[in-house]
Amino acid sequence: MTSVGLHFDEPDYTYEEVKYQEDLSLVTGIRRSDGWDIPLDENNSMYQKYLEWVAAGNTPGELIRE
Amino acid sequence: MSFIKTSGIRGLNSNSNDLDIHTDGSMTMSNEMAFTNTNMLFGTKNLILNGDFRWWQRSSNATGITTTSYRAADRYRLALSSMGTWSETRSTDVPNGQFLYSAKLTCTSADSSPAAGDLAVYQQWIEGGMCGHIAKGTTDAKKLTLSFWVKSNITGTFICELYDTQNTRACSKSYTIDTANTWEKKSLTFPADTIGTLSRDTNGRLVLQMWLGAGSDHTSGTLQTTWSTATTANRVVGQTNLAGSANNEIYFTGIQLEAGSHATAFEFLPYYVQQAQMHRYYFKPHNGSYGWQGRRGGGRFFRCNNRTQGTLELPVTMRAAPSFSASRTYGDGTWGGGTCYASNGWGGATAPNFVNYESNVDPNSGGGNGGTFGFNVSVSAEIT
Repeated sequence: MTSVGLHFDEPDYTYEEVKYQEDLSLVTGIRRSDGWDIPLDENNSMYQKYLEWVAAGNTPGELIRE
Repeated sequence: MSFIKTSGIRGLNSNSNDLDIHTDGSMTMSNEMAFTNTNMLFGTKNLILNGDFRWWQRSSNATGITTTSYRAADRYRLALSSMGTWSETRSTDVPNGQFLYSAKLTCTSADSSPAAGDLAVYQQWIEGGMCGHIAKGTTDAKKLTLSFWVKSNITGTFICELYDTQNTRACSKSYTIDTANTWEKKSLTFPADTIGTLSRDTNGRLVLQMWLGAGSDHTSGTLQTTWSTATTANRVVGQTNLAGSANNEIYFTGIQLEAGSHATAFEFLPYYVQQAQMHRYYFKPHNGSYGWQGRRGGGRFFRCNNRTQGTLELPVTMRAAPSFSASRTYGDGTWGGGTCYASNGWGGATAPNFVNYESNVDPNSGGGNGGTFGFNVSVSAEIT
């Protein structure tokens, strides 16, 4: 959770939505560009950062696994 | 001023001393001791985890740090905004024999003329659930006292700040490093804050900020030494710029933040207690290796659908469902290009107490007895 007054430079990550072949409508997690697999958990701070990144107008890519 | 000189105190109905005062000044209580207003003088009184810097799961020597990240000491984040290049190193330079390690922060590339918005802070985020006893935002709010050992090659004024992320409130206190290259013990007491309650949850609600440098945006006002809505210009007034020259360095250890207006002795926790605290936020298996030895069996994967899968049971319940990272450390034959990732599994890829993971390699695809591959695994539920 980033609050007003606590903004610092962070690496410029990009993100991909992880989906499985059997159900491409379901996003099961987020893959960060440095290799972290992020769960869809609002208490996970990497997921919070991802949501901020999307809210800033960015669009995630797609990573499909078998 | 008058004094009472005595060797013991006993209750009205006691036939022996309830408190013995020895000639060396030490005291022995012979009965139960109850303090009615201790503000947690005993027990796990320290709101700062890894205050003695015993835990360095990520690295004991992180270099080239230019952006905000958890890089080395557990639970500590070096937060930067265009303020030089830094290293964070586990050091055996300590103030006394009680401590094993200190954190050494070295500016390896200077920012002698910081831009207005430049910042460098060593910080720790504290869960709201740990802050109940300080009663922040109520009429029962407690003062907080920060104590720590510090050493630097430069002298000057430095700022410590408590920041309430939930209510955007802040309070700063200054301290002075008086003598270069000498360990000094510092103690700062922050006033009680009767405004702005903290949710007792798993989010980071209070942040300890040990400032290392800041541009004029944060230094141009008057230092905000009482709790109030955070005003940028008032937060870091008077701060020495540690990034002013390359090779400037600062050491910290024995960091303790406790309720009350007195700095008490640093709380050394048993190794296994501290281990559980650290694993709540970050876990790296001891040898960092999760692997498979093909048809010989072993390893921590099993084969499924021409891939390999496994479940990592976490040693303690983590703060949140963690993120997962794995880097290949070895892999022969067809497994040389293998990757490992958190997999959806059968109940979600990760939860606070487990991680389902998968590798894209099939151990049966190799020849002979099968090959070997291994990954370094990390799991993180840190706060930012």
